[in-house]
Amino acid sequence: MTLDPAAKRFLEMIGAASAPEIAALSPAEMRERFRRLMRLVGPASPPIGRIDDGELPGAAGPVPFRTYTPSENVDGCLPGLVYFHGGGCVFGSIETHDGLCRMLANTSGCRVISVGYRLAPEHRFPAAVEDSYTAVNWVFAQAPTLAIDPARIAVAGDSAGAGLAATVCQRASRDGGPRIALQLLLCPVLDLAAESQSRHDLAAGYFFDKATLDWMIEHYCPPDLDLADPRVSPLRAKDLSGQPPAHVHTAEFDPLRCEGRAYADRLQRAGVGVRYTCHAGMIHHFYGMTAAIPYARAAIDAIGAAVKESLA
Amino acid sequence: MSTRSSELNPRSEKDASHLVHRILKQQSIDRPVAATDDLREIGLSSLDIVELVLSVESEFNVRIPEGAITPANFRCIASIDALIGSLRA
Repeated sequence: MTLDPAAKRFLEMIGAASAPEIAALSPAEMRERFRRLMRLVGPASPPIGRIDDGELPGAAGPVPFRTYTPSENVDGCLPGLVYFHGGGCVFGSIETHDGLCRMLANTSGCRVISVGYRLAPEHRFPAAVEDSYTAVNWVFAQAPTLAIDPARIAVAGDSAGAGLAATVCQRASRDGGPRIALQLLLCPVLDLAAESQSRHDLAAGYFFDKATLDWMIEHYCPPDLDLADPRVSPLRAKDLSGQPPAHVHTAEFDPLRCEGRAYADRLQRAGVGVRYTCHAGMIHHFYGMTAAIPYARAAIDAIGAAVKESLA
Repeated sequence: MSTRSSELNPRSEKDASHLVHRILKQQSIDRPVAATDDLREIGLSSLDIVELVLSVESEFNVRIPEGAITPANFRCIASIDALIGSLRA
C-alpha cells in the first residue's frame, strides 16, 4: 500500500501549482489539457510497421480510425484488437493514445484499430456506444480486407474506453453479434453510480478524481439517463454469462479499482475466463504516462504479451 | 575560453528563467518576470509546472527527488534556481 515513487513524483508535479476548478473547465479546455499532458508524459511514438488512417461507415456519418500494424509482421494475417481510447468520452482522441496503441500493437502482435468514436458533449450517450459497436461489427465484416483473422479479434480500451469495450461485448453476446475473442480492460469505468471503497478512499489527490468523474458524467450523460443503466455502467448488467474471456487491469491508487475488481469477480462467477491484475503502487492512466512512470513500459510489455498468448 | 563556451551555449547554466519564459510564452503570457515573482500569480498552471519540472531535469541534467517537487520550491525563479543549485552541489 505505497505509491510507486515515480507516480508519487508525478502527483507532486501536478499538485505543485494550484489546479483550476475542474468543474469550471470547458470541454475545449479539458481536451487541450489532456492533449498537452500526453505530449509531456506520454510515450514517445515508438517505430511501428505501418500506420493506415481510414473511415468506416457509422450511423451518423463516417467514423475515423487508425490501424497500427506491428513491425514484426507487416504483411501476414494477424489477430486484431479494436481499441477505444479513454478520456471520459469527452477529451481523448486517436492522437492522445497514439503512442500507447503503437506499443500495444508491437507487444501484442495484433493489428490495432483505434476508433475515433463521436465525443460528448457535442454527441452525448449513446453516440460513443453506437459508434463503438458499429466499428467492431465493421472490423469483423472487413477482416479479410484488413488482413485480420476473424477468429482472433479482441476489443480493448482504457478508462471510459474500457467501459465502451465491455458494453460492446455485452451487446454482441445479447444480440447475437460477432464472437469477440477477448476483452482487454485497462482501468475501466464500469459503474457511474458506484459508491465503492476506492471511490471513497481515493476521491481526491490521485490524478483522476471525483471532480473529473462528475465532470465527465455531466458532459457525457443526458440529464434524464439513469446512471445505473448497464450501457453506461456495464457492471450493473444482470447476467454476465457468455461474455468473452477478459483481461482486467486495475491500479491500486485508482478510484476505479473496486469496480474493475468487481467486474473481474462477476465475470469469473459467470464462468468467463478472467486474468485480473491490480498494478501495485499505480494511479489511473499510468499505462499512458511512460515518460513520467517508467513501470508503465514494463506493464505494457506484460499486457501485450498476455494478449498475444491468449490470441495465439 | 569561458566567453567562447558561453557563446556556444547561450543558456545560463545556473538560471531557470529562460525555461519559465519559454513556458509562459507558449501560454501567450508575455511579460517580464522578476526572480522573486510568484509564478502562480503570473498564471503558471499545474501542467506548466509539470513541463517546468521535466524541463529542469532534462536541461540541467538533474533528477528532482520525490518530496522536493513542492509549491515552495517552484514558487519563483529564484527558488527553482536554489533547488537546481542544491541538486548540482
